[in-house]
Amino acid sequence: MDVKCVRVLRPYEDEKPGDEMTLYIDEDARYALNRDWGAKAEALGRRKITVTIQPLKAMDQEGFIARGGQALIDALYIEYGEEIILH
Amino acid sequence: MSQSAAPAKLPLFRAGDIGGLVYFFVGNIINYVIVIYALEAINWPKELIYHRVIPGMSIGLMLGGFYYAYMGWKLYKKTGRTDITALPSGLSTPAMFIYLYGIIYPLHYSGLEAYQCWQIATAACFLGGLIEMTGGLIGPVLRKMLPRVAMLGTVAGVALVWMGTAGLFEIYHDPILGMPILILCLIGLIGGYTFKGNTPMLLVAVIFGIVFALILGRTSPDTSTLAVTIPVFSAGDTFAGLKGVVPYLVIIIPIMIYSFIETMDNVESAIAAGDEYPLGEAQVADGMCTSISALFGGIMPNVVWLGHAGLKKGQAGIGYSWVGGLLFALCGVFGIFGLLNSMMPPVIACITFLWCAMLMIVQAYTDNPRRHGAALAIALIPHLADLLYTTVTSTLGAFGHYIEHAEDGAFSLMMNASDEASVALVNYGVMWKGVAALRHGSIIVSIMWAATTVFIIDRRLDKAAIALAAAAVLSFFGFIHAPHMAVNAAPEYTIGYVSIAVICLALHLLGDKVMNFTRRYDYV
Repeated sequence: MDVKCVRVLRPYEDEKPGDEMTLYIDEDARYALNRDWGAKAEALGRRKITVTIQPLKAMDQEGFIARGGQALIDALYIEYGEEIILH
Repeated sequence: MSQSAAPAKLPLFRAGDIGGLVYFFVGNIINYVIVIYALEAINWPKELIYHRVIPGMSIGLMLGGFYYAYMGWKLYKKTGRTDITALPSGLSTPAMFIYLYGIIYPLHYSGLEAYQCWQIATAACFLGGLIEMTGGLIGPVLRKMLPRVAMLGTVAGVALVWMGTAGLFEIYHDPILGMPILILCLIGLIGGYTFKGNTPMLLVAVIFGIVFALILGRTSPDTSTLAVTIPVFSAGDTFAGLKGVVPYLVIIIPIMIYSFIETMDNVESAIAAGDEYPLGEAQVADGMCTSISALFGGIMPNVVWLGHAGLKKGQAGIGYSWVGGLLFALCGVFGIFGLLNSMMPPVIACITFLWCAMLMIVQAYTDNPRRHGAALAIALIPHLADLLYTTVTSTLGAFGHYIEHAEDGAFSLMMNASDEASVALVNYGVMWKGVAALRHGSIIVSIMWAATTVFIIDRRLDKAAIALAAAAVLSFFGFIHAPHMAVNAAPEYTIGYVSIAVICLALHLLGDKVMNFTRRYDYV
């Protein structure tokens, strides 16, 4: 229950997170990780990094997706559309 | 006059516990039937199954049921809340299949008597319990080292070749009985259909299967196992089996890591549902129950089960846990499992095999990044070698063609590429040398190749080199690719692994000086 595999897509254009390592995930993923919004989680792409989790908008819920910025994508060493594992 | 309300008490049993009891009891009964069916298939005597194995397993489940009810009681005392739900527990299904087909069947096919197999199996279970107890310490470390697909992939491989094939083959062995049960199960389990009144199709399929099998004469109730059987403390047998368990440590350690991770995940799920149980205590309890069960003849590990959230939603308390534990003890002592098994046609157990196999394979694909699909594909292959090897050697054995003598002088079905039959197979075009090599330590070979593939996909040739170097060490000591453990047990394979580890390391160090590569490469 503490692991989730999600596909990472582009971030919301109207939201500018304070932390470049912010990953937007859905409620299912947050529940699986057993963490609160704003908490840290480990993201495993081709590289492992620590991200801050924030909620996706309602239209993106239950889609097995996440959203994050280019800096986060580079740190994970993946490309948009690829999947990562969240711990 | 002020009137203070008396503090609410946690009931020892409440209405919601009935649903919990069905979940706990029926779920474990199916596992019992699978174990009995699998052991009878390799001719373990009834005396051994019903007087040693089953009572021992029942002691483990009884202790687990009691202890998790006690943990619930402690949580009530600590928090004062009366909506506590005990942690569900039971036999670990993936570990059960690995113990059956990764340890007990290879022991049987190596020519050992059932009693010796059982001694080693109890020792494996005892050690498994000790490993579970250490879960809190080493689990997270190993979990970080091994890619997730490597762990899930090898479980999927075992599921495919042993459970999935056994499942579908048995149904096609008896299609008149098997096919209607299969289709009802699939409609319910995969389609999510239920009959009116929310009656699960699986339950209907099981009852229909039992009645239909009785009508067709495929089964008949056997009451011969109904007798009072007091569990025997058999630590001597367990310790006697320890010397035979060493070659299987490479199987036991990963699967018990999987088990304590399973417990860890499920306790965390319970915490998320509102019952803050201490994880370490639950892991130690699992390990203790498993080890004590082994000392009484049990051969399967216990874990905390998934499903706490559902049970809590159904308002189960702690009652289902201790009552369930008591029922398992009574069924074990009075030999009721034998009666249940005699009434249950093999196809029902086999459909459970098939269903579990399907889930494990699907989980291995969907719970991992798609780019790791190649790692999963390669993880399945060593297990095919295991199936081929076992089928060929057991067929030859059935015709009295024993190929090698075991060290103790007893006939054995061990087989390698130097044997007469092996040479004949190779001459006939069968890649027997590769089959025999991959079969020995297939689980660890599967994990190692899946991990290496993940590291290649994820641009970590340095880590691939480390995985291959570890494989070289394991083959050097005969944990993989050799029928027995020894120093320099499989020199060809050791050299092979060292050479490819060096290639990976050299390419990693040279990097873009000699290679072109992109961050993402879609190989499909």
